[in-house]
Amino acid sequence: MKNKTLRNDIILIGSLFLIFISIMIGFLLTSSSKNLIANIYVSNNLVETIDLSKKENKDYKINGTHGEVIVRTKDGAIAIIESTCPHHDCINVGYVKETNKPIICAYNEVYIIVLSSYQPEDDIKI
Amino acid sequence: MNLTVKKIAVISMLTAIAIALSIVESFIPSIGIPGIKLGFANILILLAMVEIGPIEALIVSIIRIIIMAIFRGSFLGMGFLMSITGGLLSYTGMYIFYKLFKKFSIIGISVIGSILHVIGQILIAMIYLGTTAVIYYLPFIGLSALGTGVLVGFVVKATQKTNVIKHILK
Amino acid sequence: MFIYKMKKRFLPTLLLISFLSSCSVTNKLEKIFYFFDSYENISLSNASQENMNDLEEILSLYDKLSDNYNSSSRFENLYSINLKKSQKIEINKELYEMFKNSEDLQEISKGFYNPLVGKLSKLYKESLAHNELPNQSIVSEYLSEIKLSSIVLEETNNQYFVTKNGDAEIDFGAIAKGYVLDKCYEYLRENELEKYYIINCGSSSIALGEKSENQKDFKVGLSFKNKAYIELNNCFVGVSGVQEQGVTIEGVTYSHIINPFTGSAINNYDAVLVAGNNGALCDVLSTSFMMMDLESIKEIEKEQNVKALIFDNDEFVYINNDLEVLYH
Repeated sequence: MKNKTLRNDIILIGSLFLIFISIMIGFLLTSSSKNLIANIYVSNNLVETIDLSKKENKDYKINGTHGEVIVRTKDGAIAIIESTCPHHDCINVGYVKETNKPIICAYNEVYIIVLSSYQPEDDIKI
Repeated sequence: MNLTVKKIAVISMLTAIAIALSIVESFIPSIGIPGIKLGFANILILLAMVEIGPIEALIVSIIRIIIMAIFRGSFLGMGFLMSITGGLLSYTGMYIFYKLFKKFSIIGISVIGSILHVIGQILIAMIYLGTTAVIYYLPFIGLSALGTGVLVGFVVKATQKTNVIKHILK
Repeated sequence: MFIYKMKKRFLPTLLLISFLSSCSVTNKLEKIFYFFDSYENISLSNASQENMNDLEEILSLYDKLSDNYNSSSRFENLYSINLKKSQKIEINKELYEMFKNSEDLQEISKGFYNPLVGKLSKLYKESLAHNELPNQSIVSEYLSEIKLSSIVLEETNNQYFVTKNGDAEIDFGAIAKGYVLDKCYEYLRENELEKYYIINCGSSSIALGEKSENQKDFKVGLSFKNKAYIELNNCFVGVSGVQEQGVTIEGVTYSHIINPFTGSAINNYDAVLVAGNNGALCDVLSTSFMMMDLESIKEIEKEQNVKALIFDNDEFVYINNDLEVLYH
């Protein structure tokens, strides 16, 4: 009985491990870092769209539900550098320069999603 | 359930330890999604389930969640919703595999509880924030939940061996 | 036990699938056809299969009407008209309107477009396919035929007639693709589909609306200059003289664009692009400009409100002020 449950445990832990690793690899493979644009949302409303490929170094003041959140773009990456949230988890994420990885400040209901607006070079060729 | 004074005392003790653990845990930064924690408090909940009873374990869980929400200051906010969903989902899973499908050992059950807890939290985060982008952090949080679950399992097992609770309840 | 594993996998897999599927939502419809001896690529937004079928019918109709190699069982087309000299032939309204348009375009292009170049075109096409130049005396013969031929149009009581006088043959090759683009555009407008679309007719005539809500311009790549492109929206574009069509014999490049005045297949430039508000116009001018001097080109640009871009010897000889050539 003990061996049977042990075996089941190992299978459970092993499969979960593999699932998570594959999801992680999946995200890493499908992320792109070309032609990025960042969408900033406050409470599900799109408040700002930034073209990261322009590589402007600029600060944006975003009004979250519980205070101000300051978003900075630098060298084509984006990060939250200041926030009124208690734990600063969002600031700890740091600069994001690829798709798939969002920056979330739950306290202020602010989140930033980076998307790729990568298009083929020409839409048409004549 | 036999509500003796001893039981009340034990439940309160376990709840208090759970709360204390949660407070300590809250100082560890979350990965990506604010509010997602490792879940060491599960030690006490699982311990209560195996040593005392399922209902008692549920009480420990719910009281811990409510007190932590009040303590955090965001009662009924996203943090609370994440906690309660994760907590209930986790409890249900552990109960099912402890009482009904006895296919896993304590370690396995703990892992199930841990994973379900974070899944519940991530689901609420997705609904509350209105975006599925949150799922990016699932693998990272999932792996840490996996590790935590195993650890919690071992702690509960070790505590079981000492028969401390059974001793107190006699 | 397998069921337990499935339960555990189900939720994460479900989440992953829902995430991935939410990533791309477009209601674009795209189809490729083969008419006018080349491929047409149509891309529509918010359209139905029925719309595509309707457009296919339009392409098919004008392909058959302007066909001067095969007859059609349904109606009179260029092939059958070319066979009957000096006869008044009844044609359908669509062909009649195409003739009318052709008349206007001949005038606008100052005669450099002439539908009566049919025989000359065929002659050069056959010779050049064998890397040979056609017999000069035959070229002269055909040239005089053109001068002595004419097309007479008549409309009475909702009936349409065309009479071809002389030995020259009619060829709508220089306007057909542009013209069918205009017809397609009319259809799109009638069906409120003219906002987001693109129709590529053999890569030499295109009609485009806007690319999308977030991005208005299409990046139109220029095949004659590496990495070069221009940004356009809501217009028609005609391009002539792309390298592939030319045949080089003893260092001189000959194209399929025949000068109706001189009978020569040697053009002034390597490539010309014309953008404007009318498909047939841009198609015609892109060919005509290949035979004209810069001053005349600029004159017609102003008259017709079109924008040209001229490329020769690996450089842009002229770019209209409103156009900008960008590089990737």
